[in-house]
Amino acid sequence: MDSYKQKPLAFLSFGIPSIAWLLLFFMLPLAIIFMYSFGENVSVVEVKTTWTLDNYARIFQPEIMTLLWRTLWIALLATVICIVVGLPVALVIATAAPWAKAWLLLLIMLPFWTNLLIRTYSLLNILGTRGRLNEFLGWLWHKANDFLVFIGAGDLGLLGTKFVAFKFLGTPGGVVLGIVYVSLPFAILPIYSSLERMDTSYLEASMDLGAGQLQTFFRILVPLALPGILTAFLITFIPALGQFLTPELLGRGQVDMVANVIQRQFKGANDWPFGSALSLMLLYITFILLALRAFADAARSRRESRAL
Amino acid sequence: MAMDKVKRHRNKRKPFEYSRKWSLRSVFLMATVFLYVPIVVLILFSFNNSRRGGNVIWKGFTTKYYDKAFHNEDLMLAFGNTLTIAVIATIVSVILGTFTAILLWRFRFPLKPLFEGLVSLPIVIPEICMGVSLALFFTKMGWLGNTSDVWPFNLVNIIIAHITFCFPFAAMVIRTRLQSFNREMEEAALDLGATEFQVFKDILLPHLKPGLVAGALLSFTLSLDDFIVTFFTSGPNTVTFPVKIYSMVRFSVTPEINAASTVLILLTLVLTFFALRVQRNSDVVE
Amino acid sequence: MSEAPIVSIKNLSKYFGRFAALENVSLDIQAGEIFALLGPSGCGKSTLLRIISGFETPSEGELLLDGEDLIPLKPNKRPINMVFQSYAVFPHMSVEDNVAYGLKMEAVASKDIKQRVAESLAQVHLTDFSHRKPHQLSGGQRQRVALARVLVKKPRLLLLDEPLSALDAKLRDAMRLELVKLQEAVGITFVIVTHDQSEAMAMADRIAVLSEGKLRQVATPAELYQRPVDAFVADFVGTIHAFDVVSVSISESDINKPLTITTNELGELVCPPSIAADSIFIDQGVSQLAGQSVLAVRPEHIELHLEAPHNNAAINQSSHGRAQLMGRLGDIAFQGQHSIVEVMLDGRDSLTAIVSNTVAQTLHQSGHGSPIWASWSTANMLLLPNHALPA
Repeated sequence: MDSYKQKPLAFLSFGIPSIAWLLLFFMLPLAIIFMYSFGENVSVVEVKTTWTLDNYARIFQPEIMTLLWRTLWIALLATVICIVVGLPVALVIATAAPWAKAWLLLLIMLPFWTNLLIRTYSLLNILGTRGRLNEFLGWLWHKANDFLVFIGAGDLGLLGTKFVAFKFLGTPGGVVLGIVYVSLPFAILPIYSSLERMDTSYLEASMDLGAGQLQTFFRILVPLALPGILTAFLITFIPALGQFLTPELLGRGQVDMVANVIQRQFKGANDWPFGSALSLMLLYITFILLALRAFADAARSRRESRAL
Repeated sequence: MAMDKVKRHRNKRKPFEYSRKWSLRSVFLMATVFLYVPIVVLILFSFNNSRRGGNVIWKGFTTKYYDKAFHNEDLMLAFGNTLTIAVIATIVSVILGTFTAILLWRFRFPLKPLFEGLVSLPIVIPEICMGVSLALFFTKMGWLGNTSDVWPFNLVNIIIAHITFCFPFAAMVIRTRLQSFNREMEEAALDLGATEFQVFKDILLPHLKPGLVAGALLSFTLSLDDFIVTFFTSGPNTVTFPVKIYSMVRFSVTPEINAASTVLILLTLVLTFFALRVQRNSDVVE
Repeated sequence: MSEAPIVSIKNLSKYFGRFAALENVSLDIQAGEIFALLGPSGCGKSTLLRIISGFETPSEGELLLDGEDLIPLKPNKRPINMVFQSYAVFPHMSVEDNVAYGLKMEAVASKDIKQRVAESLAQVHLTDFSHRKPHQLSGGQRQRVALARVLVKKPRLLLLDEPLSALDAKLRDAMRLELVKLQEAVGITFVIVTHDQSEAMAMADRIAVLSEGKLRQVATPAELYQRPVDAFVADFVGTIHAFDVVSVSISESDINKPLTITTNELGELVCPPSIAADSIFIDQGVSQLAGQSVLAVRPEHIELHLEAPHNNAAINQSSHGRAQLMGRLGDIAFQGQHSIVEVMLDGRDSLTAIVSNTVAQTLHQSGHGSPIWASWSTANMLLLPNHALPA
């Protein structure tokens, strides 16, 4: 690497375009919502920055707190499901034959390249009361019922008298399912890459020292894959917090998350200051999560360097 | 002489070949089915001969909804807008991304970690924050897309917004590629008499090519894929394909949407195919 | 060597911050020779090579090519080319395009390029591979491409940075010979950087030994081995067993008179004055020799006996003109043409001696640990200043 002093002209010509772009079209807009979040509406489209804290105070109203709480647990639940499902999937890909690895990875990643809106829309057809999933569950119910009748347990009514379709649309469950659906491939990727780099001799050493499969899995494999799992957690959880489309289309207005309320401040209620404050709230949460991650990394590398 | 009996063993699974464990395989299979069924159903029902929204029941095969989608002027205009935005955003993103990547790879400078953080910020912050901030920025600057503006200047808001979130990704991909560059190559070319510019053109750029293509494809897909940021930064008259579909979905669910979506999925498939080709070719050269 | 040198380096130094990568190095390279820069890693040899090629600028000193100052010239303007350690064969160009690249940069006419590329490829036996891409070549073939690519430019000077280190052992030996033959055929001056003393000895006409940024000695391989200037050089170009000198008596009036040297292990020895390194008489007064010099012997000069060679009562009493030590038999390592025998000593590192396999066989029968006598002629020893003898 060269010092910027050696070739100042080259340094500036490579540096100025991107720095200028980021300052103008990224930092400045963020600065504007920062100003707006301390502002008041003076007319329909005019906002004056009066440094009021009202907009932040409004976040602590019960309905907004409920909204934040709902956003948090939906995002968290979806993230946890993604990781619990993603770990075995990543493990299968990472330990597959070398020729198969790339194909299996492609198989999982391909849906991810499809438009988010289209993917969410495709779930609409599946999750409806008369959609594919209920059709399938109904078919399962009938088969199970037939089986119970066959073994003479039909009268016990173990499965209820008739199949009741599940309601996914407009329920938190449907929204969680939707978020899992759109984020699963993205969660798998970092877990896969941490497992892929792992040396199997650690696992073999564990077994050699007398640990069983499950013990090796939880005591060796999971701790070693932890950095990847943490990354997976962050890159699933942060976008999930800001999810707009899934609650909008699958929640049918009954399972709002923060983003839906933010959107309404801009495209309906015209309360830009409050919308700005809510957006920044989301941004602050993101920063706190990233900072925690950075601290965890720093602590780990400190521990490791001390161990050496 | 009696032959010793050779004991044969079945080829047993080794302890850590998780890919050969049936329990894990079935999780993999279920995840795959979960990921693909909705998309496959969506494609299938684009051929469903049913007018009703929600398209629950199969009423026979037809391609008339493709016809309808292709003759929907608003939809086609939106599609054209989307492609225009994606192409321009991709070109600018790759250029900006290359500059950023070279800057970070080549130079030591004060506040470098801060700059690195700034570049990766658009990747990590929630999309809605970016959408909202850019929307307010454009309003405040008075840069609102007008239909009276000459194409593609009516789309300039959306293009700027897309470049802002695309180029950090492009920079990341290109920087990764740069890291595999052997600087002795650069010195060898200088040693053989090339000038700094010739080194850039003859040696560095060819090495970067797969990274540039990968960065371009990534930017293009991100731009095609984006809904949120576009949704906030577009004016009422500058509609993109995802935004148009969104408004159609809110209105009613018709096979026409399925047909239009299928076209976009196909486009993505083609792009992915190209990306893989490029990657494989560059792997062979290494 | 009376003719003017092709490269002349005068008082060259290079500092990275406060670290001196090169300190006051002066040397001349003669036209048409293979010149090796030899030293352990970090000794400054690569820095010197990069200064000659133009990728580093010296902090002080002069660098002349054919009497003209090279320092202001950029690397792409110097009539000097380099074979890089990684070969740096451009992966996206065919063999032919790689070789043609340097000529295109000189704006040579395209029909001349074609002809010269073909000649150059023939020289390194790669004619049949001209359309291949580097990834379709073996390591040895890639090295030939790197060679053809620079030879085609007919440089005044060719620099080779650890040219054989990326090859496997067998190919390495073959390439040593081939590089020497190629150099004879093209007549271009080669400067080879290496950390491998056997490589330098086998290929170079002259060798410069560097350590810690300082030039230790410039000499032919034979001189370097037989007349090293100090213990570091002697140890670096081959194994030595060194004994600290306690006192020396030199006749100040006649330097041709034998020296009497005392060491703790060997006692008092009478040695011919020819064993002293030149620098001992130039740099150091006799008074400084004690404690700052060593008396050394190489393994091939040591003879082994199962009985005391001289029937002296004292076991370690060396006789006139011969040094003698008693020890116990250690390991015997069979090496093919000869064997290496370890002699374990009390209170210091063991000696090794190179003996014939027949002798080794006899020793082996006497058993590990049995008493053994090592002796050698004092005429085969070296009296060396010991500054910086590596531990």
